Amino acid sequence: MLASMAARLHYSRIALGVILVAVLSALLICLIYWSVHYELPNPMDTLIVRYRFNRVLSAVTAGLVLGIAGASLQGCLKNPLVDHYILGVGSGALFAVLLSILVYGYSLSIAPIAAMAGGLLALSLSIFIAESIGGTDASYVLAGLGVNALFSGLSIMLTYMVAMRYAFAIYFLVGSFTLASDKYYLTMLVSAFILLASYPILAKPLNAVLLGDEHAKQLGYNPRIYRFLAVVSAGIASSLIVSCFGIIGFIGLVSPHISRFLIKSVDHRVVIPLSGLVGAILLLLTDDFVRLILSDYVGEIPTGAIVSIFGAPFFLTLLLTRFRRGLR
Amino acid sequence: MRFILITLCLLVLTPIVFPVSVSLAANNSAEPREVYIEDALNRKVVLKRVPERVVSLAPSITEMLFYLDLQRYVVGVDSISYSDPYLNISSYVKEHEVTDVGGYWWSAIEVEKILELDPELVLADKGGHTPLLEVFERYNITVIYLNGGSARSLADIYFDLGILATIYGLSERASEFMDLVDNAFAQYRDLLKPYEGLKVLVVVGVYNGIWVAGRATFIDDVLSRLGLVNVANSAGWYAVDLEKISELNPDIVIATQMAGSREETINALHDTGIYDLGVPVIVLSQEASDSLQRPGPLIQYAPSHIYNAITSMLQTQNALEHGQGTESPITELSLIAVAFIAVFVIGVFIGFVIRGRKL
Repeated sequence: MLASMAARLHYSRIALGVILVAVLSALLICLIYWSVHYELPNPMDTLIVRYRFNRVLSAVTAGLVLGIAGASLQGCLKNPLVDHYILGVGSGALFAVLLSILVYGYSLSIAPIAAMAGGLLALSLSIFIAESIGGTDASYVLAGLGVNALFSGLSIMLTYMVAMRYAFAIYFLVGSFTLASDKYYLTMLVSAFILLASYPILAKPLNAVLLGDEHAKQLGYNPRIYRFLAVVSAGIASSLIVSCFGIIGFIGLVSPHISRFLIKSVDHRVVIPLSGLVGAILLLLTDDFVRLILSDYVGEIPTGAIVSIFGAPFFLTLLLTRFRRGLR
Repeated sequence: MRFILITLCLLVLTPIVFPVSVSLAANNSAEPREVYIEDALNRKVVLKRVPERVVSLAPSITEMLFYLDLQRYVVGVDSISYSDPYLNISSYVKEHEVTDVGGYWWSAIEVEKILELDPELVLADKGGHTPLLEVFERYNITVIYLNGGSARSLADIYFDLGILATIYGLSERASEFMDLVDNAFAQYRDLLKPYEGLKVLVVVGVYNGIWVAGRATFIDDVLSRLGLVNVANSAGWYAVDLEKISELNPDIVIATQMAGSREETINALHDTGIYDLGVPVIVLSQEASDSLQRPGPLIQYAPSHIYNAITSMLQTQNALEHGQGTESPITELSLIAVAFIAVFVIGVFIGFVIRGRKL
């Protein structure tokens, strides 16, 4: 009796998730249309439509990727306090991009590869250190803090050297879509493709990993392989986004939490796509706020800065809540 | 009677031209004298004698010192001044082993080097060095803040020059400079009469947006004195995007040369999409950029540089016509959107296919 009730509840949550995914997809499409056509001075203004489209598409894809990457990382590390930014992937990728600019100049083919290498290096360092000091929630945050500080410092140092030759270098320190253009399409597509292709492979096993390694093995999943796949795909995809638009923090942290709150479930089959959609909507709304409202008063503020203004208090609240509950 | 009237007029006009307080003891001789200065931060500074060991922390200030032939007093300069090609500054400071004290920005200034130089006066920039005031005061270093990079108009540049002229008793030389600049502006305003009211946007940098000179910047003042209209209507230096520029609808964009070569500046501007607006974009030479960006003696050349740039560009192009296409991009953009969605779907599909295999 209890088992059938639990199963019914489970399926109703999945159904709710599917409905939510459909609703949010429709909302996102409407939002994209509105963002491109809002107060268009001249409906035939090709340049503005093209610019807005590039910008909106960039924000949506970046949000989608960061949202999915955040959900994957939180799931595979069993830690709700992490995302690519907290774990230092962003600053690692940024450091590598700046280093590649210093050595080769900016190249659309070299920068993403460098970003992947730097992002994965930082991610491995964070995970290695965190696991060495106990592998608790706090360990990951502290290890990420240290790795972030290291690569941020190196990045700032490199920025001083690179900015003399390449003015855009400063643009990477805080993510922005101001200079979004079609030249980033390929990188964005590769990044989204990696995560979307990994979704069917990882969604179910990540649910098993959440139960613990022993349970995962009993269910026929090798937790090491799936954890490795999730970390690598999330690391690569978010690093690629950093190589295009700079560091955008907290979207990957906030989106999975909102998704889990919406469906009251941790089932990754629903949480991952929902998190991607929430990330896309949040980032698009933030960029619209910057582009349509703030720019009239204070000029173009980098979207990454505004995301941090809203995301950081969310992270701190989360941290306080967990520590008050006695979770380490 | 006439003499008294002229004297009275001079007495009234002097504080307007030089808004600094000068003691009665100040005169043009090199003898020790006490000078009272009210600097750009409204601080009152007393100089017991003419300072003979001076450190300049901004290129515009160094250029003013050299313009007034005061280089013999300079013992330290900022890093940009150290390689400043104008007014023979770079070769002079290297020949005379003037110390490079870092900077220009305050966080890059090496305070220790300034302390080692034991200067009688440090000339700092209100915009770039205000955080250092406490340090200077703590170590008992006399510092005078000039408007420097935060100058909002030519009057602010005259103010800075006025302070230096007051300290060294060179008011006449400063007046000559002001006349020279005013005449240059008057001359080129006449020459630019055919372009009066031309809507100009001045781009000063590209990072996290396209940075432009807005209202209450001395570039805005320069444009208005030449009869041109600055379309950037927010105050100060701020970043805009391509859409905002299109909304501002400038007739011409003037870009100053950024770090690197002129080609690199053009490439950076190309990346922003600014050339797609169909508005003529002029990238100034390094010399022209410096004359427009440095609130110092180089400002006297700004009118001629702007005139030459505008006339040469507008004579060769049909400048006031925007080249925006009228063809609807909807089909192309829809195809891109469909391509993105298709890649996303294929990605998920491939994922499902791979999932079928045992890992």
